[in-house]
Amino acid sequence: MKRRDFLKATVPTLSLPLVFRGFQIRAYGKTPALDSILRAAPESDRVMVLIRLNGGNDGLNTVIPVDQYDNYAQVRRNIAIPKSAILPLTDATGIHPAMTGMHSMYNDERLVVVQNVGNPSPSFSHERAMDNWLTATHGDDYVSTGWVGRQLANRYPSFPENFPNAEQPHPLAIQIGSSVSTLLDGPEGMMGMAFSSSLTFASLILEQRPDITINDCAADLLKYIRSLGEQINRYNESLRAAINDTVNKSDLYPEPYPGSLSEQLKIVARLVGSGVKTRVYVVNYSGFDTHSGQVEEEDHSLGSHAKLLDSVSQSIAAFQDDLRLFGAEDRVVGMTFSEFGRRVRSNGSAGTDHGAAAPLFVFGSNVNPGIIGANPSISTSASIQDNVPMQIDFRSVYASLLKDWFLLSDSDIRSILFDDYPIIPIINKRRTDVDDSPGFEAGRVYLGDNYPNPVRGSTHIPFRSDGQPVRLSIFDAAGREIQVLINRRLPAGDHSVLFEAHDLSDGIYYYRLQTGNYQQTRPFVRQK
Amino acid sequence: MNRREFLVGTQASFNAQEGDNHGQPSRRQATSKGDGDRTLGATTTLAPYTGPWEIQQAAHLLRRLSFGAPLRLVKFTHSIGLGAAIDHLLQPGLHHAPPGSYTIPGQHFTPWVDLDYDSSVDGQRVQFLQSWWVNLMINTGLFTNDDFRSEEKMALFWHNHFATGAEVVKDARMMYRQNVLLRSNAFGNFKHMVQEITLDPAMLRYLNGNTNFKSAPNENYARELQELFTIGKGPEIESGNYTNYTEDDVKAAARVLTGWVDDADTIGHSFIEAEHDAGDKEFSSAYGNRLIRGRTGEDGAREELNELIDMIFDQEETARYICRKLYRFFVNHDLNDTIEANIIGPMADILRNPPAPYEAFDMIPVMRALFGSEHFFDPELAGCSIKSPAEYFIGMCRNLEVNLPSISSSGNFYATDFIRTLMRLTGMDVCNPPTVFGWPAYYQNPLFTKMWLSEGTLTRRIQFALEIIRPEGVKVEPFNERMTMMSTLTLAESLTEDPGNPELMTQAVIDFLFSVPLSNQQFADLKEHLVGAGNGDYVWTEVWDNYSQDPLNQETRRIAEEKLRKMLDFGFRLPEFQLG
Repeated sequence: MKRRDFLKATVPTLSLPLVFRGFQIRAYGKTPALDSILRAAPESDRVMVLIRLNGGNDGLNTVIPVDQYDNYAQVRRNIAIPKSAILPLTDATGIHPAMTGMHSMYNDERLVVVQNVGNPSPSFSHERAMDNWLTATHGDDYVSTGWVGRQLANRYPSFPENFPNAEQPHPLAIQIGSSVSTLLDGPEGMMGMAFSSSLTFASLILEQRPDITINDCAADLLKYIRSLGEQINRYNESLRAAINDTVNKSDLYPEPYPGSLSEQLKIVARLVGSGVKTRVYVVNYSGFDTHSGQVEEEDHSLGSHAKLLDSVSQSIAAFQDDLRLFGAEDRVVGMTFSEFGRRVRSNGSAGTDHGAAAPLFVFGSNVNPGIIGANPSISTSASIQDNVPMQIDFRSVYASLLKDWFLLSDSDIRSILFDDYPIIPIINKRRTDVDDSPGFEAGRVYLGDNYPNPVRGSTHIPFRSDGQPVRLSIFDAAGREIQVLINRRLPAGDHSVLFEAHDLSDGIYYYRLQTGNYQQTRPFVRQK
Repeated sequence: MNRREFLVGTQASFNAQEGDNHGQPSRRQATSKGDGDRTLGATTTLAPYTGPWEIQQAAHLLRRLSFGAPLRLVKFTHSIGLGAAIDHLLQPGLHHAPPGSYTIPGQHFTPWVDLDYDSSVDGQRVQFLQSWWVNLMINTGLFTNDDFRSEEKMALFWHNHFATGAEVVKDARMMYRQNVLLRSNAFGNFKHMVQEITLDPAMLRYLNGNTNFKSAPNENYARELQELFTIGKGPEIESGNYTNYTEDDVKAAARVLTGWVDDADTIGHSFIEAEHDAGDKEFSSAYGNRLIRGRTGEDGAREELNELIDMIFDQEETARYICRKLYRFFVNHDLNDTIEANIIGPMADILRNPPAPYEAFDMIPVMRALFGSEHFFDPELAGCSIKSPAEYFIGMCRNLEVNLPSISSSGNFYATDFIRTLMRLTGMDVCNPPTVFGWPAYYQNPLFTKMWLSEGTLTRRIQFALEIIRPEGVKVEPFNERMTMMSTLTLAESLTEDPGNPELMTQAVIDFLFSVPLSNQQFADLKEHLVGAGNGDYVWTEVWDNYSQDPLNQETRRIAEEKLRKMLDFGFRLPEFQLG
């Protein structure tokens, strides 16, 4: 990527309602790309921490499009965060005032915000939407394995034969909290261990039973169960020592309580800090299903959602501090995710209902700090049903972590995620196809403004491709991909597609281009 | 599903199963510890059980014939006696409202089972169906003794036998229809069930009966009908001859079955006259060279179908085959020549020639004989299986009378879906058996029920147990609702008349929860968790007295509850608790 492009991307651009911009990479030039590669731990020491926010976090009150503050305040009148309280990330974008910890991480270049991450066929059911996230599927596709389970099975194909062993004395993955999930399941079964946040180890009582006769059949089964139990207990012992003999070094953690994020991340920090070789940790934090009363009436920057975000922000900041003090900072990358965002418009009970795309956070000393993706566009004409459409497919985030953090090959990534997805610069400051709004000149690939807009009958969608396969599709206001216009390889160059919108009823729609590592979404208005 | 693909991948296991179908003694390897050729359960027969009838025996009956049970139902079963208990459990005829759309506001109780197919919600409907079934399994008999039945366990038996997967069928309504068929005929007539399942729309889809046409026959169902559902595959005595039937019989049966297709409009079947092969069908000497005369029209095709099933059911082997599957599912995986002679043969005789007023292939007489037999209660067969995920997780919910969120809330769905997911993650995805063979734990030689356990699944089992006994219970995502077990104090009060006596309490817990006796050391350890390490028995007695003298005192309650939880925590982590 040319230096000129980096700089361009960092210039805050004037943003009009209903106009998207592309990838912003803050302070790109500051740290040479080589630095992060040198700084990172070898692949076998790298750790990923997944923080699952259950319930559907309200993205628009987490990462706030201050460039459209008036529109935002109008559609979220009863829950809008006061402009003056918002913590700025850039001129255009800020985060919730409760998130001081993560705001500092952003300033310390430990945080990247990925905007508008979603699913092309979003489900508004908690369970289905979360299952999509865990299994890396969309819509009604059911898969019995999780993407992390498949990743670990790819890396450790012989598991669980001869595990634990010298190279891997600890569980490959650990899930904390009582949530049942497919995330760690590989094709041959669970690739990790799970224990509850109160540190109850699921150990077995294996004392022999010499003083009793039991039939041969039951005795044979018991022998088998004992052999499994011994392995489970070995894992538990290896962790018990690490947890019990290690003390957290950071004093920034908020007061933990059972099930709190703070408590869970303290455990993870002790495990990582004491050299446990577990590759993936999953923690769970609940309460994000904020249908009502998510803010206090007198002060919208307070309330239940603020408390949740405060806890997330403080806990993650303390965790990062702890890792630094343990000298383990460069080994760890963390990511938050939630099953969906919430509606653009707030409801009548000072809450928000189930939505679609939302921002997520990736953190650590090896992330490419900044904001990836544009602010979602907030239209004052948004109906109560309208959602933030996806710009970045959630599997694009997974693919980027697998490629740039776990250094997997493209074919391995394809086998884990079932398809190819654009790689976005979460970890490495790799070349991306930066969208240089508003001109057409700079990018090798580009999605232009459709014309005419508003659309009465049909509209032209101009774009530029570089010869890679192209997917151009239409999304409705609820965030669902409703029509695929192009899904094939096109010759490099400028193209224009005439989209017949006759079947669409009036309202806001989006068109989205995905090709190579480029993903862009733009709105249009249908008006008969 | 494509059977060929499955066979290529699992030739070894398939051969193992093939060997099993006619009682190869080599299977005994799985259970004998090298001390000669002693057959477990060899000294007992189907003769009525006349031994002790205590809580342990009642609990054993309910672990097998149900998914375990709350103590109240164990006591009820104990009080009415073995014969009456079996009769009670085998009564048909409960009515259950169909599943609703549990996560869609306002549609919680709105049935979708007769609505049009809708691809956009079908996956969710399958989930609602699964959760609905799990709810029935958990709740059977929980509210009144009158509603206590074995039908859900038996429906699961049939589901494993006529294994059909929603992922292939791709229509939740058809899966529901089949589920209702299996349940309503749970203790009905096996032959009738085979007639019904042959034209069941889900089955027509799953085994490609719906593409079995005169112009292009598809043998899939015709093969499995014989190999897996009715007569079973014997030794291959010459190429294409499996003793009980031949490859030519598969072809002939496929021709009999041509023309029947599933019908998504009626959620049933329909008949395509032009695709029915009206020629005569000749069967091999395995079936006495039977000729099924070709007929035309739907009625004619149905007559052919009935003749085919009559022909298969006329073979003695058919009765033996289903009795083996019953035995494996409910008693023990180890089928050898002794068991064949002492148990399977007599069971098959009862199935074919039941006492009046029953008809041939009615299930009740043979089940009554098996579950009431001395063999079923033979201590040599106690704990001879690892609990299936259904038996483990649903059993635990029932044993501990876990409170689920109200049936009318979506929280109830999430809770039962949580249990369903645990079952799936530990190897048993109801409505989605892995193949037409059903779950490997019921056929895979030599591991059988060991197939249920791995480090991962065992961890999940233990973890659930340890969490469900906590005062705060298990949190059900995505809400803040919780599943919690009944009060341990209530449990203790119902376990023994003298709860303050730690010896009695420990023994009562073992009798209620374990299928095998524990060692003296384990007994002592269990008791020690009740009284506290290094404490004398009187410590527990005192704790209990303090509580019972002032039952509303939060502190004395908490202390007593805590000790009981510690005992349960220890018990659930014993390997013995995994045995069914």
